[in-house]
Amino acid sequence: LVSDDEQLYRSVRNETQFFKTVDGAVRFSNTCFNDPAGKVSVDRANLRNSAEETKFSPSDGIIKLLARDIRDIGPIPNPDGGDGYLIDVHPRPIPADNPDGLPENLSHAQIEASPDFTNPSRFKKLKEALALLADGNGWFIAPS
Amino acid sequence: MRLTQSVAGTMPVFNRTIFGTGSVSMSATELKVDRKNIATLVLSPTVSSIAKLAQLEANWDNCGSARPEPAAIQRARTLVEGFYRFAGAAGAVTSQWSPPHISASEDGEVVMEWWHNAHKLTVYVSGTTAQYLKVWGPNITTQMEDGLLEGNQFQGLWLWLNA
Repeated sequence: LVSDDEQLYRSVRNETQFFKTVDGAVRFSNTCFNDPAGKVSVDRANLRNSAEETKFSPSDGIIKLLARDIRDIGPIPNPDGGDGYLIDVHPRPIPADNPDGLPENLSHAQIEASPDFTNPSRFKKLKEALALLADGNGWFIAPS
Repeated sequence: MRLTQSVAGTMPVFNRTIFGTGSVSMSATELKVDRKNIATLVLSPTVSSIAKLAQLEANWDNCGSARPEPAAIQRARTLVEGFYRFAGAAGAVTSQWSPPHISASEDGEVVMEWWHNAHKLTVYVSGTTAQYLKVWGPNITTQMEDGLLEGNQFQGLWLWLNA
C-alpha cells in the first residue's frame, strides 16, 4: 500500500509543451500527466535513492506530489450510479524481466480511478487536478 | 479591408509593440490598422507552435501518447484565429489577448491552455470537434466544467477567464 504521507515523483520533459511561466510562477500543463490508459505513472520517493533516478533524460525536471493530496481529489460522482470514482495510488513495481522490456523500477506506482473511467472527460479533469497540485508545489528539481 | 481608429479607440487585443511594422501606420492623431495583418502578426507564434506539433512522433512525451493528429492541427490553426476575433469582441471589458500554451493530449488532440489568476481554460481540438474545460479549483465535481465548444461560445469563456 502507498501511505498517505508518501511523496511521489514524476518526470517532466524540458520542452515547451509541458510547462509555462505565468506572472513569475511555473504553471504545469495537463500534458505533464498524459497517459493513454488513464493511469498516471509516478515513482515512490522512499523507494528511490534519488529523484534523479526518476528522470527519463538528464535535462528533465521533477515534480513531487503527496499521495494524500491525490486521494483527496476523489471521490468523483458517477452519473451512472454507484459510489463514484475513487482516486488512489497503487504500487505497480516493474520487475527486471517484464514482457514489455521496460527498465526495472520497483518504485513504480500508478494514479488510478476505481472503477476505470469510461468517459475521457473525467481523465482530463483528473489531469487538471494533478496539474493544479503540481502548480502549488512548483519544481522539486527544475529542468536544466 | 483597412480600418481607421483613433488612438484612444485602439482595440486592447492589439500588441502595441508591433506598431511600426509594415501593417500599421501611425500619425499624431490616428492609427490606420489592417486588422487581418495585425491578427496574423499577433497569432504568428501560436500558429507556429501548433504547426510544430506535426513534428512530434508517437510517444513524444515518454508516456505512450499518440502522434498529434494532422486534422486536429489544421483545425486548431483555424480555430485560434476565431478565438482571437472573439477575444477582441470581448475586449472592451477584458484585458488584451494572451496566447495559449500549446501542447497535445494522449489521444492526439491539440491542447490550448490559458491561465489567469485562479481561472484556467483548456480547449481540446480533435479533427472533428473542440471541447472546453473550465477550472477554478481542484474539485472535479464543483470546480470544473466542460462541454463542446461551438459557435461564438469562446467569447463567453474568454470573459470568464479574465473575470
